[in-house]
Amino acid sequence: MPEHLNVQDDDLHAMDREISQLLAVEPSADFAAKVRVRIAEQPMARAAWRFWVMAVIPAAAVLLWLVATTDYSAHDRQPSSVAHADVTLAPAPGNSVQRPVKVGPDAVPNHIRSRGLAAGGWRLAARLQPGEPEILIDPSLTAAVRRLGAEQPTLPDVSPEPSLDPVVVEPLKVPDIVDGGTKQGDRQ
Amino acid sequence: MNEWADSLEGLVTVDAGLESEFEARLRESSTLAFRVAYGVLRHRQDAEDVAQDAFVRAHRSFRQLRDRDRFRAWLVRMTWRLAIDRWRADRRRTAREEAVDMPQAASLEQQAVAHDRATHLRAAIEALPEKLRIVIVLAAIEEHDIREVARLLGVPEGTVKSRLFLARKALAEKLRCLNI
Repeated sequence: MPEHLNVQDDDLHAMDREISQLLAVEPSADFAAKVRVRIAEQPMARAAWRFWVMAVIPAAAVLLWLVATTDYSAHDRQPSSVAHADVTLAPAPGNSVQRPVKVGPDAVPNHIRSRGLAAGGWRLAARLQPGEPEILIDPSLTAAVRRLGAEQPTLPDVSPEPSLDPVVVEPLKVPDIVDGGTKQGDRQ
Repeated sequence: MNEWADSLEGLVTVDAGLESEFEARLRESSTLAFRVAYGVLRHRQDAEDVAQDAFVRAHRSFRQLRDRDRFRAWLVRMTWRLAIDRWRADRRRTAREEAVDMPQAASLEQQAVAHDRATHLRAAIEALPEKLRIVIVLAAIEEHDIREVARLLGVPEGTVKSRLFLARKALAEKLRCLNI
């Protein structure tokens, strides 16, 4: 034990010497060799690091770029083909309505339209030929939509919104203050 | 392509330099790590295993541990932590190494007394709180002074001094109670 601990007691010195003797052990002669063997048994860590740097990270970057561009272009294309689709319903047998009812997207309730889209309406629209009508209604709700079409063969007329003329605001004209004796400079 | 080859060659060169530095650290610090582990475990095989594990971990992080002082401090703390974990896991193990190289005593009676004292001293050290225990072990290894112990543990010298005082006092009282 070092001297600068200011130890006065001889017993403590003796105890320190004993502790040092207890711990005065040496590792075996092949200690360093065993360490090298254990390090050599783990080559995967460095190889894996290089593998990640050299191969996987660029590949992942390219893959992310491909996914991002593909998804973006598909996202741009899908809504335009569906949003304005018309639906043609054949009349139910025995119904008094003779001709097919053409129902626009505005006439189909939103919840039906959304179910139809969720049931794969986009994929259906992609398979159809350009001239064919697109059916975007859930098949389980076909009867209900037919009844809706039969009860309202014609859509109620909606008066167009009145056109508003642009409001012309004339510039505010403020008459000049004509008071000969009230100017500050004149007072002074 | 030449730049790519140059960069790879540079990597290999750096790795070779790191390996030679690690070899030097291994040679000069293996006894330190082994004794730190032995101070906790009191079992040669376990202590060697723990110290080797610490060196393997040090090799993995050697890029950040190239500085000698930093390496030794990191190694001591890692070895201590691994040894404490092993000691706690094996606490119930009964076959601890009891044979310690004791100084040659004059007679069988003196040998028995010395053996008893060493056994009690080891038990007293083992009963110390961890913070006091590591200080007294490190101070006893390789004649480390307070500054060196403080550097190894990363604590102020005053902290080491007070902990060392408390540890020695506790050990002395415990041995005095046993009349040894």
